[in-house]
Amino acid sequence: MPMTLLKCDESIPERKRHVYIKEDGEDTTQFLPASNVPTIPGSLSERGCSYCGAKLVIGGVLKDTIQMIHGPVGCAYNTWHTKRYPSDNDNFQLKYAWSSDMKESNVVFGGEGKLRKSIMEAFKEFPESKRMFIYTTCATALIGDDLKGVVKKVEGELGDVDIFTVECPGFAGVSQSKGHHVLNIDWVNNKVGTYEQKITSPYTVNVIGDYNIQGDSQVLSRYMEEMGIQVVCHFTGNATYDECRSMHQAKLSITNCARSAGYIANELYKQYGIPRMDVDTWGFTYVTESLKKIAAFFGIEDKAQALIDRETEKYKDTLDWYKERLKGKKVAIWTGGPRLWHWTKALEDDLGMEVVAMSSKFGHQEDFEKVIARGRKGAIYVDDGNELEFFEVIDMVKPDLIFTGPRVGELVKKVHIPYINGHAYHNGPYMGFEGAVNMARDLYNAIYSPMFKLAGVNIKELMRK
Amino acid sequence: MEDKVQAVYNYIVERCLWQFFSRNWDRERNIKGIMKDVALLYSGKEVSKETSDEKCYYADAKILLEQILDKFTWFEELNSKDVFELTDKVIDKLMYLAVTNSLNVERTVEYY
Repeated sequence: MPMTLLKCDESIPERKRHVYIKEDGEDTTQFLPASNVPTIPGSLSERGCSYCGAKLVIGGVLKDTIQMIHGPVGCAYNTWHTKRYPSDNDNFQLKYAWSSDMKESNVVFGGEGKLRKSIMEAFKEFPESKRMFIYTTCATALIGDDLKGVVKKVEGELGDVDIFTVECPGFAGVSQSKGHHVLNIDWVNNKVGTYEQKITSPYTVNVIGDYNIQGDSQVLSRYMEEMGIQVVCHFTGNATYDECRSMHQAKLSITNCARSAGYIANELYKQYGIPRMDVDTWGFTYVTESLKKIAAFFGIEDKAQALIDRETEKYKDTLDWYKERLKGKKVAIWTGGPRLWHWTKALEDDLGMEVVAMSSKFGHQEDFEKVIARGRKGAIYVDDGNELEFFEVIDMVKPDLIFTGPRVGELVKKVHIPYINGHAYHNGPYMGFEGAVNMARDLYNAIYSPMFKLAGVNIKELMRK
Repeated sequence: MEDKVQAVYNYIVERCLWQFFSRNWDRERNIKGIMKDVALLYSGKEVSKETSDEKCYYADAKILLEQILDKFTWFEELNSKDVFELTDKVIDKLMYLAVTNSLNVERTVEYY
């Protein structure tokens, strides 16, 4: 049963190209779901917009940068504080939202004046920050506001500020993925190579595609520091604007989220000759393997082994305790794209769980090649899943737990299945050795909590008895 | 030999990411570079680590060979000639999967 039309999709048969059930002996030269294509009208998509992919996922993570949203205030508010990526400078990036607050009259008569005023006001109110991202949105792109023209004038006037313009309105692509792409390419073409930071180690890396969700980047930074490796730039977890301008100084690009940031890793190779090494930084076994690979590149294997030995000693018993209680439990992963292939084998190999269904909002066919290769027989793969499909898949595979975002999470709560926030985590970090244990603990707490069964009890009836 | 080729191929496909890089040329470079180094390392021959690319192939190959030796006890019984034959066949299968017969329509796009 390769490409499959679910019962709920009978009225939109085009959805058959997006749903695949893996069978023995099949590979992705025979079947590969359509992906990164427009959502079919009639399908209630869970996707986000392209601007969101640029701002919420990548740019908004920077810890020292004013994020000016040139558009109606909702575009700023709805991409603010919905993802937990802290920083080591008192969470500047989480505390504030900035917007040019476009109104109808600005749309009619043009918003460039209001943008200029907003930029000046923001720099005045936040004198500690001399760096800014400005994003165009649907409204300001449609009326043709010239962001770069405004920026040129402001930079000339102020002299000591540096501003990056992200011209990727919500309608620019089929999903968040377009925003990742535009930001990556514009950044490498316009900003990388414009700043030199002090290099203190012969071993230098960019850590690409990790966004410090609940401290992930800080875990990886500790590991790198312990191995004597200087992280030139995390793209973009806990990073500064200028660190990202100096990515050309690294000797290796370690790439975690190849979907949101593979583009910049590829361009750094093409333009600066920095090789790209893809790693999995979630999962106990994967982290071990990844640290060994990075160390082998630099010839510092002994340092990696010392770290691995210590962390294994510290965390492995706890992980195994959870494994005993989680083995055989069925999981669905319904997230953005890469976490499907990062987590499948980690959950199965490290914790003995069975990943029975996976859905991607914005993954490309490359992501499905990876996840289908890693997934088990009988697993259901869905691209750009809709609400009815999620309910039908739940009936088909009966998962004990679902990794997904708050939108779909609220939906699955209604059928009394526990969910873990697969985007922003419950109690992370989830990366690294300690992260693998944190994730196992959250899985255990969710699956064994009596709350979801109790939520289904009809209290009125019980009281009558 | 075919069973052994299949076992190593299955392991790589399930475990590694480098065969599924963004574009055909990246995939081909990785597949050939890393598998060649696996054979050289196993045979005790010198692996070039002059360039950044070569260091990357070496790092992936070194860890992959460790894993293969750990997972497949029969691997150590192979001589160097057998391993070169095996890796050549694995290269062919990976190229078929990820380059020549992949259904991924993005892998030939000229720009990233």
